[in-house]
Amino acid sequence: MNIALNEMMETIRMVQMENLDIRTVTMGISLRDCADSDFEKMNKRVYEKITTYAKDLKETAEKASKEFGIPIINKRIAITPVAEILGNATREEAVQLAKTLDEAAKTLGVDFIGGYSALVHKGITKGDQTLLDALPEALSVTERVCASISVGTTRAGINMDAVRQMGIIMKDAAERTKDQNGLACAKLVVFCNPVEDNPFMAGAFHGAGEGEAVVSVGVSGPGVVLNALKNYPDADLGEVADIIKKTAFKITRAGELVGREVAKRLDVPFGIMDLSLAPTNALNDSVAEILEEIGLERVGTHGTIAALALMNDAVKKGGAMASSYVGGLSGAFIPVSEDNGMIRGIEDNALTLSKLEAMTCVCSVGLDMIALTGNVSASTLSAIIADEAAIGMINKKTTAVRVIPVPGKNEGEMVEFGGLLGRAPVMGVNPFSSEKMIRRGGRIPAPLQSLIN
Amino acid sequence: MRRRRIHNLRQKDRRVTSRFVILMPDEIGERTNLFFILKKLFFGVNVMSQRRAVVSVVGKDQVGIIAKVTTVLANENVNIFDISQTILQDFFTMMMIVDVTNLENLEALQQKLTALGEPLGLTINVQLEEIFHAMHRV
Repeated sequence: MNIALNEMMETIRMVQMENLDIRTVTMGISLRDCADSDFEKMNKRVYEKITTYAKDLKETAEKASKEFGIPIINKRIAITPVAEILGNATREEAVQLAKTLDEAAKTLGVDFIGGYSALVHKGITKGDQTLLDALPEALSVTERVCASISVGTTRAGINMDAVRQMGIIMKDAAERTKDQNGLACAKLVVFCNPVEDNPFMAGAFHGAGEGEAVVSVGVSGPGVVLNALKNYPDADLGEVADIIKKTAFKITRAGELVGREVAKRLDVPFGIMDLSLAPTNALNDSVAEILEEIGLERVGTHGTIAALALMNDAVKKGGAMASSYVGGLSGAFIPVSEDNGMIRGIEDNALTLSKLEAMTCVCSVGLDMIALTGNVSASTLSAIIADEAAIGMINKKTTAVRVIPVPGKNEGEMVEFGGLLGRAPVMGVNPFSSEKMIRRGGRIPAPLQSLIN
Repeated sequence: MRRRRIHNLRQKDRRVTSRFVILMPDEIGERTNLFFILKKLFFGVNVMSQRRAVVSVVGKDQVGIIAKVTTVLANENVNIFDISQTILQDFFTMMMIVDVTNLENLEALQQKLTALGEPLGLTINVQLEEIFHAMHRV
């Protein structure tokens, strides 16, 4: 069937005016065969493998992007969780490996490389501990390396010893990069129920169930959804869900086509499509503004969670039908610093940290890119992580914490992270201590899978 | 218009190798009419091997837009299958479906068209047609 003029116009308008783009094409690479008892050998193999497998990634993605007329914003690499290949390496060697990864990313021209990770949701191995010890330094001396730590799952419970360590690590990492507003913490995610095929940073890694190499795609398009809704100011909520569904379908189909083409040209299997709506600081490219368009005066007011639940579910329904392989996080991201609507919500005192926490119960990830006061204690950070992990564990979903305790900044000040990471108003935390609970350590047992009220 | 396209194919497509064509499901869905299926088989036009692109031109209406754009396409030896055009609130909008099967470098064409469009205040894009099919057809 021929494509009508108005349909062509719609596609072109989505790209040129409404910021439709493919947010990331991420190549997952297994590093298991690089492990070696001799660190120097391993270090060399890691660099060579990454720079060989992904050598055409940037160029191929850019060519496909031009031919289809859809921008691909980021080209990225996800690797096997580094803790799994560290073995007997020392802390210094682990830092050296992070520098090697950074170097590989620079050589390839990719903006982030994810997978400086450890899965410690039940226990901590020798390699895991080495990675945790190296984290603050590794993140502060590298530019493009992203780390993620899994501290809990629905089937294993929450490892509170790891949670306690993460609070300390985040404080340390922020302090080491205090002249950049604690930027190291923007590259560190703490997960509950992480997914193995997530193409989005900072939480991407190449999981144990994945193949040798794979290409996964994350699309985006809050601006497109927002504009579609603006055409129907009086639709009821069932119709609103339907409009979002249809729009998500179109966005996903575009992403899947381009993703598959890139994978084909690189001769690497196509992995998954991640359906997440990821906002940017571009005008109108905001998840918060979609919620406001649905009918909230400001994001964060009563009704926010209902609107977010509706939107998140509709995006999944539309996207799931459009793609053969849906995976990753697939939902809506609510990163504060990357979403102008969220920033305004906080500035107008409509949106609070507690409301953001509640929103994570119904949306895709968690507390994302939130700046906290510099004087927050390590145990309070751990407690924030524990709360999010508990939400994920009980609700059988992925949750994450990526907060930045900005050294020397107080509630209400604005901090800039630069580039895609945006800017965020510093938020205060509850002044009462959670110290004793965090000090107890141990493991929170896995929850019942029945009696689910 | 459909008829004209097939006519065009018959005229231009000299690379035809096989009289037996596997019809893709969407091709069948598009024309279940037996006449058309037979016609395709008879002329042996291998529709699948074609690579088509959409050239879109958007901007302020002025004299000679079509002439200028088609001249660039003709110089690149690009055949045009279909043109549709409209004026929306003073804005000229044109879409052309063109054959880029033998055009290796789409970027070079894009650059020429951008160079043509910029001084005239026109936005001209070349995109592979598949993207429109993916987004607007199930």
